[in-house]
Amino acid sequence: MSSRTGQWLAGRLPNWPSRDPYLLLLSFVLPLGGVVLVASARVPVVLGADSVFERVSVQQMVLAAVGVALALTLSAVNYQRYARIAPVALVGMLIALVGVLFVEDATSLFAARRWYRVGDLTVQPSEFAKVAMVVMLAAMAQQFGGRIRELRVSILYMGGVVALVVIPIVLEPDLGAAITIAFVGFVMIFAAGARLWHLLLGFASLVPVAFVSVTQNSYQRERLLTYLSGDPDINRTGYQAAQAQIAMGSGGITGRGLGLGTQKFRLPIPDSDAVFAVLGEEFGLVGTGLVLVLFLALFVRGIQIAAATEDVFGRLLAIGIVTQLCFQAFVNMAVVTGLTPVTGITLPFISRGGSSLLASMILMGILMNVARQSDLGRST
Amino acid sequence: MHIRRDSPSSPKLANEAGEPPDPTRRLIVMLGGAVAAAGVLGWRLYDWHVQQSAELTARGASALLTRSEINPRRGSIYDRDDAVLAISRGAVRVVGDPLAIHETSDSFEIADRLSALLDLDAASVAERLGNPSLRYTEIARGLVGEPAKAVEAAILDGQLPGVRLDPDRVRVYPNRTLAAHVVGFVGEGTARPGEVVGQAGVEAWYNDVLGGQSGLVSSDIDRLGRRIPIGRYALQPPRHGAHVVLSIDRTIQHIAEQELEAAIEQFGATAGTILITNPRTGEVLGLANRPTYDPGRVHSYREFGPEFANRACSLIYEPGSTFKLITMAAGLDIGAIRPDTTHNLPGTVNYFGQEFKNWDERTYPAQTMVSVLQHSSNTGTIFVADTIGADNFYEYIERFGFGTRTGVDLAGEVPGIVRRRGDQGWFLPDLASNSFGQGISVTPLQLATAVGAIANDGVMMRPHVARAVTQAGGRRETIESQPIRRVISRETALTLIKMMEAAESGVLNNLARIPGYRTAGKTGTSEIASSGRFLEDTSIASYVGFGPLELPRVLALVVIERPQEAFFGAHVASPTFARVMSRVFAHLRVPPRTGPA
Repeated sequence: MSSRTGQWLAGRLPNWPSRDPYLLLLSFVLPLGGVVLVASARVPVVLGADSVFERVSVQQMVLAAVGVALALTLSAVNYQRYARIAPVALVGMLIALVGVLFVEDATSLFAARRWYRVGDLTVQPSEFAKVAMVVMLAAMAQQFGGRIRELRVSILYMGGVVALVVIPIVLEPDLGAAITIAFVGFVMIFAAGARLWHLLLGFASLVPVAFVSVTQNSYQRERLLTYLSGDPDINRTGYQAAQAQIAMGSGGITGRGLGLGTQKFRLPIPDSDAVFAVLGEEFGLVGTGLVLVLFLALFVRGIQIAAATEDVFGRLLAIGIVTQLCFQAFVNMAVVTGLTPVTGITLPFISRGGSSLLASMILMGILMNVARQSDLGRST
Repeated sequence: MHIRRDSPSSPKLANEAGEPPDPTRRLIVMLGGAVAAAGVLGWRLYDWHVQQSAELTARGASALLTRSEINPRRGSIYDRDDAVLAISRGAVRVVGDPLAIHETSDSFEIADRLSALLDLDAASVAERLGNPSLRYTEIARGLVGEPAKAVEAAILDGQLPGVRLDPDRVRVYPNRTLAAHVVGFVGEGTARPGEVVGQAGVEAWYNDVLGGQSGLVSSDIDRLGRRIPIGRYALQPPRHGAHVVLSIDRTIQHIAEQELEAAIEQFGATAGTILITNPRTGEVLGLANRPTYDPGRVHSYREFGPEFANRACSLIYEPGSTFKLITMAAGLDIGAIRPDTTHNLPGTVNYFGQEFKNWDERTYPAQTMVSVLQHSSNTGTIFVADTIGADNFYEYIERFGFGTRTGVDLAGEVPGIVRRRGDQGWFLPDLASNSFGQGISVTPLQLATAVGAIANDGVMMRPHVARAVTQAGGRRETIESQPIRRVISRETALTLIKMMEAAESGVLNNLARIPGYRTAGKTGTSEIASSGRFLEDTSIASYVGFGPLELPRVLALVVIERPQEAFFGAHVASPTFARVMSRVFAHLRVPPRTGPA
């Protein structure tokens, strides 16, 4: 992307709340795309129901609007304030994560305990725990500065924070979220300047956790074995992968057109994990390619912001935020395209789900403020 | 990309442990990782969206599409006045989803409620509902009326989670056993689920007409097998079955059933048949058998017992003396005898080594042919058969249709057993026994058809039970009556009828006579052969006759098996014939003869 065009655009945007043209564009386009795709993916439900009014689609629309407003508001809030409240927020989120393990919810799928029910809505604490962890790690990196090179700091303190968040999520069980969070923590410690062999040590400590998780949960084992066998068993867990592949292939280059995909009637959860496949069928390579490029652009912009930010807190916030959003997006796309085993992981901004959307928009808001205070924000 | 290399610490960023390491290289590594990941994803997207697109599209298209047949509506069966004898009605089938029941409630509880509503065995229902590896199990089918409403109410009330009602059809026979052997019954076919196939009678013979043609729906389906509304959809609608209108007159049918029932009860018989036809057209007006069955409740019978046999055309018997009409017709038609021809055979005759007796063992000197009929003389018909010879005799038997199927439009007709000269098992004395209806096996319908030729001026009509087919669109195609062949000359027929009438009037206390009407007929009494030996004191008593003789248009054959209270056709079958004919004449408004009797 050309920074000259960006500066030209930024000069013509109002100064408040944010004037980073790339982040603004992404903050509108991605949630809007989500609203459209979730509505399309919910067509099977609408056609099977008595009413045209579709609660989930409308909910997604409202949450997208709320999310955009939230991001724009947060872009005006000085991110330095978060450093102080980060420990409190993290402890609060940890309590919520442990608490969710004790919620008895007969309606939950796969016997997983991931949600709190608030009336008609469900709140997924792990989504907000991600935010708290990113802020906390950035604040710690700021606090420890050069001591990041010590094993005690990098692995015991910072790695310990990651473990505190990851372990209850593994117990839910939600391996997809746990892997994403662990990876984000890993990248942030790496970016903070930890020694490489410390990182390898930390990574090695994750292996037994993953092993225990996979062997304790039959569906995870099944998914892994299906993936490793390379032969998608169309009747079992390979079914989702096979249906997604058909969806993408049927989409071709330009897609069947909005709402005209038929695979969403066969994909297990077309409005959530498999929304990328719905996109692929209805908008083809143009649609999926565009979303891939948008997430890559988000990541590149995040790194640009990090590089242009002097203080460690802001820099690591930017890195953590874009890593969180883009890694999850890439893993979701990799799952849908059969490059990795099936893990229940959503496409940020786009998949159905209020907690995920709001958490993502909070991250975007924080990132916009970091950008604003960086050299990129000040230079114009 | 703009990356700051100089990082002077501003006061607010100061920390006690020195500067953190320069992040530039690590940021570049991360950027590289992201670009590489995006590259792999992009390659995969290109591969699936572009390179494999055609193959995947085709795979998806074939995986989505399913074809299923749509069952046509089966046509109805009506009597000749369009009264319903069989009709297919909408019904429901009670279906359970054992997995859903397993997840939401207790299969035993559901089974208890269902079995109470439907009067089923709770244990077997619980067994079917208690297998959570199934998504579909059928509890009851063809439900109509109160039980269907009760189950529906319970489902709406939320008492039966995992139980639903699917549309079904049921074959209804509103007149229950009436004309059961003509109408027949249906069963389940094997070609497709829900296929209905006629198993007997008209249901079987006209199965293709009644059944119509199944339709085909091809549509894209989702993973639960439901149609995808925005997917492909092609419907080839079924062609519904045509309706069959029978020649059966339900009043005449009812008369036949009632009189047969009464005769069986009166004489303590085990079984019987009454067949009423119009000899001028071959139309069957009534066909009653006992024992009988209820076609609507076939599923409740343990086995296909004797009640399912259509004795009128699927079982054979020895016709006995009724067959003397055939022997006499042959002799007259050849010209070998005349009504006043006499014979002098004694009451007991030895014919090629076998002894034959008249039933009364009496000798009638210089007996005329009319007297042979009047006294039902066995030796008299031996004289006739011997006079015309075996070749002529069996040629006439064949022309009268014995030994071959009549071609009636009912399933399961049998040809009977006729052994001619030259056949294995035929011996010279057989000509004598055949001449009075022994040693030969026929169906009641064959006999009625053959005697019908005498009533119809010598032309034998093909018996049939259907007179029209009404297509689903409303177009009615009449089934024309067909002659099989001319069997005897018109003169022979008229002469024989006169002889029969004279013989009947000569019989003392003739129970077959109907006041006010001229009819002609012949009694028959045959012994029952079992394992090659005749059983003593059991008989098949029969009477075949027709009228009014001015223009015969009703023929009735009464066959009563194993009467206990009497033995001879004259005592058992004749009075039944008389009652049947007088009631049928009244129903058809046949005018009684006027003037002197």
